[in-house]
Amino acid sequence: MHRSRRRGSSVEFADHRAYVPGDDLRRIDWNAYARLEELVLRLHVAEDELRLYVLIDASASMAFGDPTKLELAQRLAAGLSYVALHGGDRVAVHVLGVEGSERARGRQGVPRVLRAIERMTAGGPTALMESVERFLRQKARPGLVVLLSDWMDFQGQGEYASGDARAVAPGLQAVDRLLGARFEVATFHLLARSELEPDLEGTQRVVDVESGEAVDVHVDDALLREYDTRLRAFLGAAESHCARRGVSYVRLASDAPVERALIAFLRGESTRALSP
Amino acid sequence: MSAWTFGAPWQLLWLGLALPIVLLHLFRRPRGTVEVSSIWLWQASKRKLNESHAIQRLRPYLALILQLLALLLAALFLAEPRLGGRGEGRLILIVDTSTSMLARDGNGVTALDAARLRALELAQAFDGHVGVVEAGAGARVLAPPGTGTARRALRNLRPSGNGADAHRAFQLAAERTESGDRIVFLSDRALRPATYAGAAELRVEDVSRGESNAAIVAASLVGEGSERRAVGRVWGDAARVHGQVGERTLGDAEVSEGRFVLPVDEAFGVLELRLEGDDALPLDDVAWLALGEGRGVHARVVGDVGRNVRRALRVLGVSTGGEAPPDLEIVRCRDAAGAELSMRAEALVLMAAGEDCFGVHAESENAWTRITRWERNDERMRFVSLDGVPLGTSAALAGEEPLIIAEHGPVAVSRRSAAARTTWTSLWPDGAWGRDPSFVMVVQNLVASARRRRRAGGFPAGPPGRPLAVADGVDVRAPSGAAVESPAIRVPFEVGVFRVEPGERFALRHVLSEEESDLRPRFEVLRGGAQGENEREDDVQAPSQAAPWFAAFFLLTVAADALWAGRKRA
Repeated sequence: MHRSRRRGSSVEFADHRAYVPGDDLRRIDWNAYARLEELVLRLHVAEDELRLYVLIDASASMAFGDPTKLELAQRLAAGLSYVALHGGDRVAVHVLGVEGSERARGRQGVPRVLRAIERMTAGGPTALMESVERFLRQKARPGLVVLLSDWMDFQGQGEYASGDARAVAPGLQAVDRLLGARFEVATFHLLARSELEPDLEGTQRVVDVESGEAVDVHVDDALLREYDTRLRAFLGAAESHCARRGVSYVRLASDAPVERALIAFLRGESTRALSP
Repeated sequence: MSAWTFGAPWQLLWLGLALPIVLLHLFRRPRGTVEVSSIWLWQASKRKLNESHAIQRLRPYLALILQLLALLLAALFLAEPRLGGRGEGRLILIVDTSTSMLARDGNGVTALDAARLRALELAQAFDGHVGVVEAGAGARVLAPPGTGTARRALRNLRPSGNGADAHRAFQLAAERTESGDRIVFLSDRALRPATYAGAAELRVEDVSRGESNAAIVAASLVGEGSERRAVGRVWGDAARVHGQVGERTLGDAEVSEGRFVLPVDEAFGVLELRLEGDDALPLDDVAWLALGEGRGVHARVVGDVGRNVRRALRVLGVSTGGEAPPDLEIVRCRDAAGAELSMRAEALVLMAAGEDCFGVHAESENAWTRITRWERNDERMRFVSLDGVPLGTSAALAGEEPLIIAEHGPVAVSRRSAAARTTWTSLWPDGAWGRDPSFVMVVQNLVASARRRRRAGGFPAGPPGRPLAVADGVDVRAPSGAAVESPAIRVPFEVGVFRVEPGERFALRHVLSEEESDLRPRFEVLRGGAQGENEREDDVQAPSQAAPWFAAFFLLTVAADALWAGRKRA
């Protein structure tokens, strides 16, 4: 039995987090509300078996980067699964958008899980919210969900422009939905180097690999500056949203060292240093 | 308020090139295609940038914009825009400059002079823009309307050869006018009908005096030996043809039904045929027939010959080493006094002076051409002495150092001392050789050769055009007074020495064509007909006539741009 990182319902206080719709009203800290006028939940250290759910985004956009974002996600998933399984915990690896999961418990499940991770290929569109709903329909018991995605799902795009933390975007909705389903959530935001620092110039036709949509742009310094501003706003909005929800948020470039990110994550260290 | 108008509005059709240019740009963009995870960031960035910096939106189209701008400016340039032209109207004066316009009335005034005066009157009276179009052997715009050059162009009008291309002249005028403008065609109407399809009002003014004209329109030699005769055809009311061979006058030939027969004298080289009496156009009253074989007249041309000089040489039968002068029509080779040079001269020196020429007859050693002016202190003069060449006398001016001045500037000086020593000075304003001592030697040798031939009773045997030897006893002095050894002086014989060769056995050098000699007014305007035949290219006078060059240049530019874009894409 392990001391879980998951906040549970034991008597040992662990932390507060903001209330989200769907939370157990009995766990609201009314004393804190009296002081802060904000609804927060008291979190306690759970003394039970850890259930680790690794949700991997394998959409076409994950095929970018060198190595690709999907390869990075696979390595992260493998590392996390290995550690959890060696600790005797339960692990379920779930590809977003695909029915079913690869489930295992204990060390004997390591090979099967790793093979499942290795078989993943990138393709298809990103639909984070829909994929999370599909995951929740499997009625998994609450546990720690690690979301590995590039968050390149811009169905609610406009609000990112201003960096508004209240922006409603599929990635953030998915996080909220998981929290509402009483899961503890951690997310790795994966990005390709070419997305962080585009190496383009002149007139280009930019094609969305998932939707096939195209836009003609004239890439110059002004456009690259504006792109960088937009990207930073998008990343900042995601990070601040997760911070407010008490969600671990790690941003990684696909060419970043995986081991360092894993160790920092497992130790609960600040993830800011890892951010590209 | 003044409005913009265009002298050549059809040139705005060049703007139609904008469509293919735009299409080219559409087809060539983008230069590359890149797949990304999501286009949203690019879309949002582009949108934001376009909202905040309007100029950024134009950035990808910069080349297109510049090309379209260049096209617009070029089309406007070719369309000859002007301000205020519409309100005041335009007047295009088309002047017939065919050779028949040299026909004179009873007072000696040519039709061309009359047309020039009338045109100047019209230009003076007209309040708007005036343009001038020449209808000569080729039509061309001498002064586009609105440029203020009409009066100068009218003053410089010259006869341009046989025939007047009125049809093309009408086209040029119509292209520069529109409804409400006026076109006046000044002509002797001795032309074929021409078509006019413009919108402006066209009026034809007859500037001829209706004088009668006669012309020798054909002549040739028939028979051999003592049976040899000159036969020909005369156009008009001529009663007699006068024939001269050398210094002898042959019997007059009766003209019967326009045909004549004359005896010839084989002892002379050239038979000159001339109509008796005066008429309106004497240019076509004369013709020449070569009689002898292998005999010719030597002529030497000093300096760079102009267009009219070449014409004169052509008429005189001068060949120039295989490079025949083109489009030669007029016999106008005058000496400084304006008298036409005679084919009877045994030797001839033609000194080009602009578009005119100055001739020296070697046959008349004591009848030097008239001196018109003497510039004593001209620094450009160079004095050279010749011994023993009594070239003539300065009849018009007293004094020892007369300077001969042709129409376009000073040409030569001769000085004759009491000891029969003559000093020649050549002064050719536009060239160096005229001031070179070798020029003097050419003259000296020419005169000496002519005198020898004269003493021998005719031309010496041997091929004409052989190099001249430098005569002994030539004393050449530089301006400083220093003597120059004559053997060291090179005579550029090959260049600038021509051979007058009336050796074509049945040659007739017509001054004018039969059509040009027919002065009867017969011109009429046909409205809106088809294009005329045998249109010719005109001299480039107006911007719109540069259109083909512009088109070629522009298409090359666009093609290069497209190729460049393709290379980048590759």
